[in-house]
Amino acid sequence: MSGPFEHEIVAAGLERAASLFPEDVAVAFRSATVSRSLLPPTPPPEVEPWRAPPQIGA
Amino acid sequence: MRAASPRTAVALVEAFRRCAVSPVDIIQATLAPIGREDGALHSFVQVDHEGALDAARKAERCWAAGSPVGPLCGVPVGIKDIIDVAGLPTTCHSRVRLNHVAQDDAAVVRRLRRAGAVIVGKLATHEFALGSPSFDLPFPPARNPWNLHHNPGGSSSGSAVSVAAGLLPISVGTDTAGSIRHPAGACGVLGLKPSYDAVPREGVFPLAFSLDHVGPLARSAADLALAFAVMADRPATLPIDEGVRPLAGVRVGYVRHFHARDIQADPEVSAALDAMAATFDGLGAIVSDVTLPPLQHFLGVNRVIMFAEAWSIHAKWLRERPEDYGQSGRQRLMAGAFLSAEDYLSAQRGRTQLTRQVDEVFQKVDMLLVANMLDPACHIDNPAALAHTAERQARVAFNVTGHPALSVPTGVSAAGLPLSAQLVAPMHAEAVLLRACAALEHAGHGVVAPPAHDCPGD
Repeated sequence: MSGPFEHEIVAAGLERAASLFPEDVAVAFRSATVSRSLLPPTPPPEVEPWRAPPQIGA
Repeated sequence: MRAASPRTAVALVEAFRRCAVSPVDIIQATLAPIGREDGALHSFVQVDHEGALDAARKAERCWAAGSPVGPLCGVPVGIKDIIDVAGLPTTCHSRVRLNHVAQDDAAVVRRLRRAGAVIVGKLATHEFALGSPSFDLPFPPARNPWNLHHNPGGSSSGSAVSVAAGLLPISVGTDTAGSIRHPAGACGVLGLKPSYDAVPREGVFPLAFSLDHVGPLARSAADLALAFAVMADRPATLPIDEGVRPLAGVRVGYVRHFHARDIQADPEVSAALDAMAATFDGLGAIVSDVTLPPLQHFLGVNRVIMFAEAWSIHAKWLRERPEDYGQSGRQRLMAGAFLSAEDYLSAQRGRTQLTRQVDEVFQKVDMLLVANMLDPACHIDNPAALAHTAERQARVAFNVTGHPALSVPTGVSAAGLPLSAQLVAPMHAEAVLLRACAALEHAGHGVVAPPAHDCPGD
């Protein structure tokens, strides 16, 4: 196992997956990178994480 | 490919009331076409013949006794195979869960049974409700009844296929990034993603806790309204609004930039959306363009949250037995391993902001008209086309915000495949969507049955 994201594979405990399916792990890594790049600009500090909206009758 | 005379749930209940037909007759007439035709469609992963007939006999006794019956008494319903039905496997279409048998009904199944529905079986999904149609799973992928070579959409593929093909009047699906609305659009039926948590998620195998929604698919507005009322435990509303201009005064915001600028849609999809805007105008609605944040921002937030939450569920299995997953699910479910707490919280904070921005638009309009699929369904066995079209969609925005969203047909492409749009309403305003859907149906823009196919290979 080697590559540009070997450290991340070990940190995630995905050594077995990386040995059996190296291309799938690489696709997953790229997918995470692309997804992160699509996030909107960081909101102001006072914006809190989303909370589920109240339900009818709640 | 469709059943000989598919009936809506409303028509069935009326026929039961008049004693024109019995629930046992209907369930027998439902099971026979499933056995005959589903070999090509693959919409079911499990048919519960015995359980369905037992429930039908019970429904028949209720109708015969003249005792009060539930609103779906004797109506056949199918359940996506990530939702527990007591005594049946919940495989999630995965080798990982092949031996899991549910001990109890999911909350939504309990509500359906209480209303008298007859659970006919479990319906195909993508593995763990994520990914693409796959050929490396324990069950084959469902096929689009409009053209068996084309993607039926997903992940609630069996839920849409069974309803579109006329095998069932109502099915239950789940939607984390569009998984009810995608197959509903691809198969030309109605699919409602309700407001977040309007339908309980207890007993539903999670994909991403804070994005998962449970909802119905059907072929008519009245059936959809009935199913939603039962599933959400709300009083049934009659969405039918007669008259020449049934949407008079309803303010419709057209989110044109999603498909015209942010991610350009196929021209046929765009033209059908413009035509739907004109139809709303003709029905009396006041249609104007509105602007939401860029579609890419919703996509990023949805993906980061979905991958992170899904990883928290699948990490142990993916570390120990990755070979038990299909390739499509494995690639997507492992993405969360490479996201940080900072990524997840950034996405959840961005989500707060995006939700507020959509709520601000709802101060000015009653409903949004939004693209659904940005392309007609591609071939089911073309991985490149599946990957390309998977990201070209405008559904995730409303998993992020939690607003109710409904897929409605907008016509058929030149190649003979369904086109669709989304209608979106403020939180808990599903009635607005159902009313608009009924108005479209009355104006001749309802669900159309797929053409008949003679054999799987045609």
